[in-house]
Amino acid sequence: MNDQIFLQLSGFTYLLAMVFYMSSAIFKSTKIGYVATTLSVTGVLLGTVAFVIRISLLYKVSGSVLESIPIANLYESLQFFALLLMVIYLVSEFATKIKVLGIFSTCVAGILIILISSINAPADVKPLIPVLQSNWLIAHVLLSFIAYVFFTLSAIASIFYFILVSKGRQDPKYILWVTTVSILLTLLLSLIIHLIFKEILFISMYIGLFAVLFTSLLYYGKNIPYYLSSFSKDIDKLDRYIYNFTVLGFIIFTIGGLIFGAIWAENSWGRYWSWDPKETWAFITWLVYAFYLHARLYKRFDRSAVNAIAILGFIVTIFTFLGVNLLLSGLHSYGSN
Amino acid sequence: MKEKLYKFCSFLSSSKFAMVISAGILILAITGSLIPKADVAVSSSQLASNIVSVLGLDHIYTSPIFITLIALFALNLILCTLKLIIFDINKLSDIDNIDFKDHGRVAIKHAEVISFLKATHFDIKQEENVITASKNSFGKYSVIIIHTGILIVLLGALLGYLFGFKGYINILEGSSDNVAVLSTGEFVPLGFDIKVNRFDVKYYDNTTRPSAFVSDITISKESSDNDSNTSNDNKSLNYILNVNSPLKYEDVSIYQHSYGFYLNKKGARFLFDVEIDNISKKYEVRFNESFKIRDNLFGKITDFAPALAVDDDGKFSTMSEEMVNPAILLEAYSMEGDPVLRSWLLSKQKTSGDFSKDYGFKMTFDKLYGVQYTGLSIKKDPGTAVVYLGFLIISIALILTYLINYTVIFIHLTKDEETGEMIFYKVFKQRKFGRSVPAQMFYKLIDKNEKDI
Repeated sequence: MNDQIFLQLSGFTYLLAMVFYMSSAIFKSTKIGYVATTLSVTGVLLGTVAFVIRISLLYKVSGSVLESIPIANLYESLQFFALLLMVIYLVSEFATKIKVLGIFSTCVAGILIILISSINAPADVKPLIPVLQSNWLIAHVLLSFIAYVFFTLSAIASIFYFILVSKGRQDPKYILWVTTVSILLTLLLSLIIHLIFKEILFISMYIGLFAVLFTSLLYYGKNIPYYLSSFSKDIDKLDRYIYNFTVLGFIIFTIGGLIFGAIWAENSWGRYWSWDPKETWAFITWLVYAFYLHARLYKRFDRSAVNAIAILGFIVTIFTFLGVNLLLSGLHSYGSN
Repeated sequence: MKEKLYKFCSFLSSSKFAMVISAGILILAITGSLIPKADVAVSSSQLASNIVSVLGLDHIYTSPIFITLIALFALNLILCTLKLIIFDINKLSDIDNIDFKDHGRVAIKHAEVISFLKATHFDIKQEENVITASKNSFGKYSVIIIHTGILIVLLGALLGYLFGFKGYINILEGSSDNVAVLSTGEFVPLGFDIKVNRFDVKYYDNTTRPSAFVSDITISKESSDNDSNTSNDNKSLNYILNVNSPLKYEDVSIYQHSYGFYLNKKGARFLFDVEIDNISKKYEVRFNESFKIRDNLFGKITDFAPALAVDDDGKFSTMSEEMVNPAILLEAYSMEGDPVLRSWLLSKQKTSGDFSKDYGFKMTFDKLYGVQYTGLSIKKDPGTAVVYLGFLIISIALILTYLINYTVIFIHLTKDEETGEMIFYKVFKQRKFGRSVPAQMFYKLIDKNEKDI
């Protein structure tokens, strides 16, 4: 059985859920909200089916359950990341009852799944090469991904925080959220267009789309905080959400990403730290979030400045997760194909 | 002078200085991560590559600037941690500095407050009419412990930098060596011999995807002249070295690192079986060495290749430098020297050696020995244990910091003519959004009494 069809279905379901989350926020309808949540859960179930099929395919070639967890190449990691993001998002939705963050969570999950087909990430089922045959693989990669998901959710909550607190077009906070939302939407739309019309040159379309979205959001977006004003009472809750996800992400990233990674590297490459590009960028990510934690203690930084660091951290995280593997070569290169 | 020194010290321990240093480290680290790629791109331009090497951009992470920055970062961390120790442990309980008039006040019976604090397990200290109630006091050390952990990791790295080395050694299958080469070109004698008995790349079935790199090695101590009589010196150790399972021997670690093909006609050995009438016999022969197959039929191996493939036209071609499908060329001849047979035997295609129909024997090619070298990396790092200790401390302290929220409530017991017994209070919480918030219960007590008024 093929896992790709289930994966694509889950991506489609997430995007459908995104539309419902958006409508539920704008029309303040709890009923539409229930539909959105149901769709998200369906998407997660479809994604889980794809994940389990992949495990069984890998088990056939490797013969070991521990070596059959699909997290060893780009296709598998994007698929797994999207699934993990939605699972953790849904848990947080049930715990905090903040549904509006579903808009961005489903958007990011959808982007990741379309990205898989857009960049033609090879989906061949291949057993692990020798260096990856280690129990550290699961501990290191799984925990790193959980941390990335937490950083993603903290950034999503920060974007929403900026939408709520921004005042007028001159406010830098306004520019900040308009820019980040435009980037996300441009990415999503370009990927969808690219999927339908393959021959369009990607970069030029991306720049064009971004210009259109950015300008229209800049001019007509000032009503969005008004539509969402009912969430303003949640700002403290949102702040707590951002803080908790960042701190949890930081702890898990430090232990699972950096420390477990270092111990594994010591065991297989004979060097716990070698300034390989992935390590370097993981260190940069760690520094940015350490800065977030310290900035919260200083009066010099107000709440907005601190939450802006959470968004910066997310940008660095994306580069650590994907950019390094796609653009730089190094010891972690097996993630690039 | 003293004042200047004090100012300088407080600058070194300031958060501003920490930010400047971190920014410097960040910029260099980012540049360093981009250089390998850029290096390839500019390799055609002599000027650009000169600039890269003059500025030391090709080895940023070992450059004096980078190491200085890391050292300054460590210094800043030490001073900040000392500041934390002085502030968190001594200053906070210094209640003389607290002006209670600035903080919350509520009318409440003093006995009720004290019994509440006791019931909720606060540590209570009372001096006259001032109560200091604290909870999760361990929390005040947790951040200090994390910072100390980072410093211990840096100390471990320093120990490795000063007293360790990392070298490489390439050993041909069947031979041995005892000197590692560092990346600087220096030689390091190991004090023991490493013999590679066998090296194999294993592949997943029917693919060219490697599943394991395995070196079968024997380590033996060189016996020095003085104590060559003691039998212990001749002890040798066999080990199967695999990626992800290094060997620790004395104070060094040995890792499977790389491998390669080496066209070595002199040292090559060919291992195969010959089967005649269901009786099989093992052979190990050298290049061009004559061997008897059966009466009036002799063979010689006259060529070999690491990976031979047959294309659609039935022609042979070498498809890889790796030993994906090693092959040997068998030439058989009669007692008089007349050629009888000339054929390639492929290790993965067992039928290629089946001559039972025409010549009455079957040859199964097993291994091409002695033409691959294994690349081992050899490391000595006395700091690793220290680094791991730092890791352990950081991990535990991080989790504890998140779980434990150090809280202190200062309470001034007083009286008011209108309302009777009342208190002034100030709550100090280590974290606003901690996992546990002991102050919450206190706030509930306050809320309840405010409503009563």
